[in-house]
Amino acid sequence: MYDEALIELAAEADLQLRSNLAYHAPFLARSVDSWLEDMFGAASLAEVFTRIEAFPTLLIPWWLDGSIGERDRSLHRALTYSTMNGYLYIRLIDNLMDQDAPGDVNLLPALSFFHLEFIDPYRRLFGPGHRFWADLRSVWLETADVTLHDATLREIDRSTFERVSARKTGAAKIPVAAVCHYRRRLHLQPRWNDFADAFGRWHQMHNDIFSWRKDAAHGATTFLLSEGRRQLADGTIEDWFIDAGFDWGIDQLNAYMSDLKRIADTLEPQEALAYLGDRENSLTAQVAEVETGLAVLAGARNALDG
Amino acid sequence: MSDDRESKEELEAVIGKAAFDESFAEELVADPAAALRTMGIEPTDEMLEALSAIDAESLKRLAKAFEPQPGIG
Repeated sequence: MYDEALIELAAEADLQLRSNLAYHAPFLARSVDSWLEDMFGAASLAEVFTRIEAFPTLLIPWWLDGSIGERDRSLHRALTYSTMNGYLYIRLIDNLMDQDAPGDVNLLPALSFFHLEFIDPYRRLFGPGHRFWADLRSVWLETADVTLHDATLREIDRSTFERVSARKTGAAKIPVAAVCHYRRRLHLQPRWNDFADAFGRWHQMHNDIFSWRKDAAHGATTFLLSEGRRQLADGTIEDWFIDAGFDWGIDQLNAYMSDLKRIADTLEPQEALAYLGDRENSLTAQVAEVETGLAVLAGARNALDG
Repeated sequence: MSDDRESKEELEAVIGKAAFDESFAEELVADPAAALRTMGIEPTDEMLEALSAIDAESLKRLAKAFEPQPGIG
């Protein structure tokens, strides 16, 4: 799924991030290390970014560049380092907003490092006044805007889900813009942006389904839980999820996957399409396991009702 | 409420919790009586017999599927 070359770049970026932070801000580095360990255990950032369930934020620009010609390793070294820092910037803010995830306000100064290191590789690639900066501004601020908007929602319907919740991963379009500008292939940008947006919808729906228990426990608002409240005649949200909610969620997920495949089919080379096949197979195995468990649960309840 | 109905409801609650709480599901597999007591339920022979008929491993895997996964999301 991930080329060895890209895994190596992710490992380099991980090392560079930690050594830059330790060199420039050693006290902060210790706090950030603890925070990363709380979130990811012993896994390296490279492992976390290249897991099958991760958003393919490193892969999308990789595929795009591969569609243009021979990949430029130095470009992807810069993009990978930037993306890792940009992700940690967003993740720290998300965790602090959620209040149920690792991280506390004492980590806020780390945002200075993450933001600087997210921007710095682009500063080296594009001069002041380059059109890339307008794309970055637009995408980065939209991501910030929808993140706050999503956190304030008390009800999410399909339209709000697609306009707001599913666009929280929109920053994945920044390295897309970078490749298109760097390679002077701006005509490719809309299609790859469409792919990133469509993947955002699938990914957020997947999160809605498989994090539903945590979301419900913390009173979070999601499309899935909002739909549950809309459909619920009596009983609990757990009853709805067991009886209908899981199937409803998987139906949405399959519809978003069909959209994704339609877009991926127009992209060359077809690495994106092959990746979607792998994600689909992984999901099929996950669904089978859940369906077995739900059948056992239904059987046990029926037996008790006797 | 009759005792019978009460224990059915208690067992439903136990099964529901096991389905979505991996550590509780593990406790239920390892030591059903102790797991019931953590919910404030005094196990009876009937309850333990009803629980032994359930495929607890499948419930455990179900709970695991909905546990938060560390990673980027």
